[in-house]
Amino acid sequence: MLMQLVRKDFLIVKKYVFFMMLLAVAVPLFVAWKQPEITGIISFVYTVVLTELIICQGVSQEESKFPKAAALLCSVPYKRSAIVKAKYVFFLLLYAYCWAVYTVMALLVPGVGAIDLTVVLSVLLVGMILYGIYLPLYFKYGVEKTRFFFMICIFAISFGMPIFYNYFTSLHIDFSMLASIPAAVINLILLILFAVTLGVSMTISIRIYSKKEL
Amino acid sequence: MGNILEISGLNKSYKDFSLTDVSFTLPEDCITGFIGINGAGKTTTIRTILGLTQKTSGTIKLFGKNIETNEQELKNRIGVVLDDGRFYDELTMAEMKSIIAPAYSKWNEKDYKEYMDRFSLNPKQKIITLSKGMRMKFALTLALSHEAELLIMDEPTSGLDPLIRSQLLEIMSDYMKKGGRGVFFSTHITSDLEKVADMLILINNGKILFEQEKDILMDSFRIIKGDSRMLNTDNKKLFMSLEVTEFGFEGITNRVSEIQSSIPGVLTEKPSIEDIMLGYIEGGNK
Repeated sequence: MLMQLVRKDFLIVKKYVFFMMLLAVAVPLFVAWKQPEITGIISFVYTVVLTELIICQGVSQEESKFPKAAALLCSVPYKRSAIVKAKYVFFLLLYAYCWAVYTVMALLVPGVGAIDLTVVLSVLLVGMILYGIYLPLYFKYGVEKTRFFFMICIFAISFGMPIFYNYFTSLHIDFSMLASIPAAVINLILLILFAVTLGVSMTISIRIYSKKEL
Repeated sequence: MGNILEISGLNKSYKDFSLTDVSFTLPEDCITGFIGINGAGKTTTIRTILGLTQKTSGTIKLFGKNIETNEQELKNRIGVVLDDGRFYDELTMAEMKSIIAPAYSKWNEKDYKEYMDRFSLNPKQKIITLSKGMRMKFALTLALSHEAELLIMDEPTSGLDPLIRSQLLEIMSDYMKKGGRGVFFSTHITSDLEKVADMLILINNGKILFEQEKDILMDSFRIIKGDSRMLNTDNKKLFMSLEVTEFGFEGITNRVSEIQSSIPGVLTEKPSIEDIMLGYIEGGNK
């Protein structure tokens, strides 16, 4: 049942999901070509932002065009909690796709900087924090009041990343303490933080949607 | 004959409207018409039954089980037709069906294909290109393709031409032939109910005004016409609603013999469901 609801999200944005998925291939190539100095984590962040956040917002937009369709879904034997969970699974599947595509590009194309698991989990955590804040707000207030959230995130990340990166490197922060922590421990911490964020956000979203008038 | 649906003490409040102590039952093997004027509370009642809105208080039982504690199991046994279908219009009918069908454990693909053929619907056609009648037919197809025991329909004939309305009513009658089933449909087009309904429930301003077998209701009421000079304070009270003009009076009542004793020579006519409905509503507004 859950996967049918995930599939529903892909179906309602089918017009442009294929194009966006091609973008996940194109972005690492473009960055490697035009700005090879920021390949790696930043290139991966751009890939995730442009592909995932735009598609997720697209789903919200399409759902808002057919508000009564949610009533039909809830009048058939789909649980409201399953409808909520499907949104998070959709997000994770898109992220997995972005990761898989980026990894293949890094293996095949010289200049596309490889990323390690710590980078993957870090970006996943940041994405989950953003999406985890957005989704409960979306369920509570609808797409009209939350449309600017994604737009601001996409804008800030797209244009702000190089600025933030340069500023951060200019600080010459000493990471030797972090470097002494085994990568496996850092990854575990990131995974736990991700799971907690996911759990808290999902619980709040389910509570909000369970009471929503349809 | 058991009860398929039992509503007891249902209350739901909005800022400007409330359902107040709504109670009624739907017996098995009956088509029940849920009638009322616009804004009476028909859709609110149906939305509350389907869990689309939270009730303030009351109990809702389907097939003897509380819907709050057995929601998924009971929704599996209900076919739902909501006004205008409520689809993702950009999808094709096949895509929409692929979303809805897996929700039901008893989805019957053979029935689905038969109904699509019967209604001449092309599954590859986009929902946005469908006429209002075709959308309703598609909604009905989805509702009838999972061996539902209760069909709940909210204003299914609204905005449809007489031919499609007639086809819909015929399908409802066919659906009932298998036995052990029920239909609950809300409408303000009472002429549809005169053909198919077994039971009638009237709601107005969020309150149930009557719940009665259609034939008994139609037999117990009469439209009375006569000379307005024969009316007095006492016999006026025998009417549920009364219209007096310079040419005479016309009223509706279920106290026919008393009126005939008081006013000999009056004309009596059988009322329509609409006449009875308006009589209750106008009588209640006095």
